[in-house]
Amino acid sequence: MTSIVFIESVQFGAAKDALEASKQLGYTPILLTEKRSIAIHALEWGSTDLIYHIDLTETRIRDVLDHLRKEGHHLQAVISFVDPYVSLAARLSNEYCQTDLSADALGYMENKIHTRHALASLGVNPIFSDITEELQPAVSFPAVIKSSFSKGSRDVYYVRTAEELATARYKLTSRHKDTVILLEAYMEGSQYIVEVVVRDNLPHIVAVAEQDVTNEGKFIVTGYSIGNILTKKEYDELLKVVGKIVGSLHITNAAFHLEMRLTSQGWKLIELNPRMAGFTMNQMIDKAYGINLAKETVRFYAGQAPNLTNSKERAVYTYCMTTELYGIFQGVSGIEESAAQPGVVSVELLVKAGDIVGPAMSMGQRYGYVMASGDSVELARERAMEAARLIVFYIEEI
Amino acid sequence: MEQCSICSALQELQREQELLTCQHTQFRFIKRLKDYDCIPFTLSTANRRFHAFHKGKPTPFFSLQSIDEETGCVVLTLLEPLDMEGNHAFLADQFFTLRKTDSCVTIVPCCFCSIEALPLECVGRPLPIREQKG
Repeated sequence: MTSIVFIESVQFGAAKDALEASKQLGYTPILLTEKRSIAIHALEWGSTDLIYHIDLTETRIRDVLDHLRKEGHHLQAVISFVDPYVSLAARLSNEYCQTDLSADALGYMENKIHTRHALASLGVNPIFSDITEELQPAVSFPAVIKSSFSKGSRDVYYVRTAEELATARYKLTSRHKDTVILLEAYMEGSQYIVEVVVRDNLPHIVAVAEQDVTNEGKFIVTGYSIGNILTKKEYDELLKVVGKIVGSLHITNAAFHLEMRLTSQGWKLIELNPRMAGFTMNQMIDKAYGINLAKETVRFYAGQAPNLTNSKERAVYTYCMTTELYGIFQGVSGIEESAAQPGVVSVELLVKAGDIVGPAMSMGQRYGYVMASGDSVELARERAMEAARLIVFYIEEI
Repeated sequence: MEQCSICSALQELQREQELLTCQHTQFRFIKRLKDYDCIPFTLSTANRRFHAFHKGKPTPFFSLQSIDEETGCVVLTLLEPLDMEGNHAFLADQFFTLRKTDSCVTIVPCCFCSIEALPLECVGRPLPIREQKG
């Protein structure tokens, strides 16, 4: 029995798609999770044959891996699509399954300060400083403050004054005293997700998605577009920057994504994450280029050559639904009508009646999305927005 | 006249409804976010729920208006069930709020065999806000 062990998953996104994909590839997926919500609904996770509900410490994970081997499972790879287990999974995979993944580089990416220091000479960093110790940082306002292990915009704040900085800093440190805090100059420009697969030191850009970011103290992505979004010159420069980053971090074999901003001084790195992007990214790339990146990543990490050739080229736009109101979500109308509109690929609601909803303070507070495709990004976007206008949320204010 | 159990239940309901509104029962320490003045309920006969019609639309929800001591007849106010959009909820159990109407119906309580009260909050609950996307 050839199995792939996955460390942690999510209810929705690439980490879940990967479980299904591993099955399609002929492996037995085994999931180790800390989430009770997943463990108690094990049957709904039908694509997974075995679920271990354990504390995800390295010792416990090793115990399970040893146990699985003793039981006669042949482990092909250990993979995680969820922070902060990505580099740990790669390290264990190299040790238990003799894969050749760049575990150290992935580990670097998990820590934002380490990433910044490692890339200091490339000119892709904004001005930044570690303000855990320093009281008088060299960064001027407006700026961005984040914890070194932030994810999904949860611990990232936009600050304009010293007072806002102090408030944000308090929010970041009040729960975890030893959080390392990074202050970076805010950079104006469009923001992009760049999905990269590096194989034998050769980087390949799988997809570039532009993000519509709303910034009201917190950065929330409310739209994604894939398609004709970069000029040839911009793309070539991006390719060069990615090549330099891959070289500096000594990445040999890994799939990851960068968040980049195209500023007046060229491409700047916002964030580097050791896994493919979550939310609808996997589905979007599939609809745009016919590549199931979660599946290809699993294939790649399991030791085979990933198939990253585009089988089609479409533009895709995803509009994320948020709310301006605080209250109890009572219901929704127009989902079916919206899904039936021309070009609409998928409409999902990620909230249920009775849930408490509010204006988005983190990416998790996006309550659904409408995805549409078309010949150009403009058309795809127009179709998604047109379809979204049919959707009405009913919210009882509290 | 011998009293049936629904008659005495409605008298008890009337007492409790007065407690909700009566000036003399203003509590000193119990604070409420909202004042309620009626108790919504349904009535059933042996085999079905009693419905009355308001502007041609059926409702099984009522509140007590008055009891005639002499005849034992009871006047009920009709409460209209509305869905989230404020339309009449024809599937009465899927209502979002109950709205008081000006329609009344007079009943002889002894014809019924059960009464079921609903939470006070059901009456006059504000409709949720419609938030259009896109």
